Amino acid sequence: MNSYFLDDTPVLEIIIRNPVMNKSFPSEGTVIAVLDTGFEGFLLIPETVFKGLSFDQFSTEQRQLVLANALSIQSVGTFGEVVIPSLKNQFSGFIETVKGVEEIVIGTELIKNMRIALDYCTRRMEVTSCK
Amino acid sequence: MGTITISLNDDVEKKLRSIVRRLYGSSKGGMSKVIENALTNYFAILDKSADYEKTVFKALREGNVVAEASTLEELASILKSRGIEPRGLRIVSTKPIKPVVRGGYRMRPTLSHT
Repeated sequence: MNSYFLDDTPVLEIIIRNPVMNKSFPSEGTVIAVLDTGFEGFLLIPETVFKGLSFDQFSTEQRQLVLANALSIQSVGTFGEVVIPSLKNQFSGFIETVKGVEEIVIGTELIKNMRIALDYCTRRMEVTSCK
Repeated sequence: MGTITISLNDDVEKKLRSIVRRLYGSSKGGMSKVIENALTNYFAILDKSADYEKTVFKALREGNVVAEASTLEELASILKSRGIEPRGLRIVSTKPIKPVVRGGYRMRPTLSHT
């Protein structure tokens, strides 16, 4: 079971990779990532994970993330991979971080590769690849 | 014009027959038209999705492209084979990133902001 409800939040078990630096997080097993359809990016990760994957050793890009209260915050990021073992698939995209973020968040740029069914009545979640 | 025999589950079949009745009444060929339109739309979506995947990643140093590939693994392999130090490289994609996006609801608005 690699996708499920954690309390009332849909989560997916993933592995984050920096192929250029040959680093993965976690180094063994998977990590839980929260699905957030309100986040328009690919993947948001804590600074410690960003540094652990050596993404900070690249020349990074910056952009603005608009928060729910309409204020904006600057993120830094670069390109990396997300492996989803339950789908036996991996996706490349812009992986970013901002100061203070403590969880791994999957946004719509990654979600659009998946067909996701959320059944809150029975607390079941089903995830398949688009193809 | 080909003839194909397919199997559908009961729910999909029921919905298909209902839509055919709504759009074409009892006229002949309605079901074929609905299925043909649906498949044409589905193929267009798949083609669009395939185009989306045609991304090229480039590694730049001081503005110069030192390697490029269709996947990050391939890019890593090229850099390694050329003995290029990855630290300090700028990795870009032919699919540009949006300069401003919605951050979602998982981030607390109390974080430092601009």
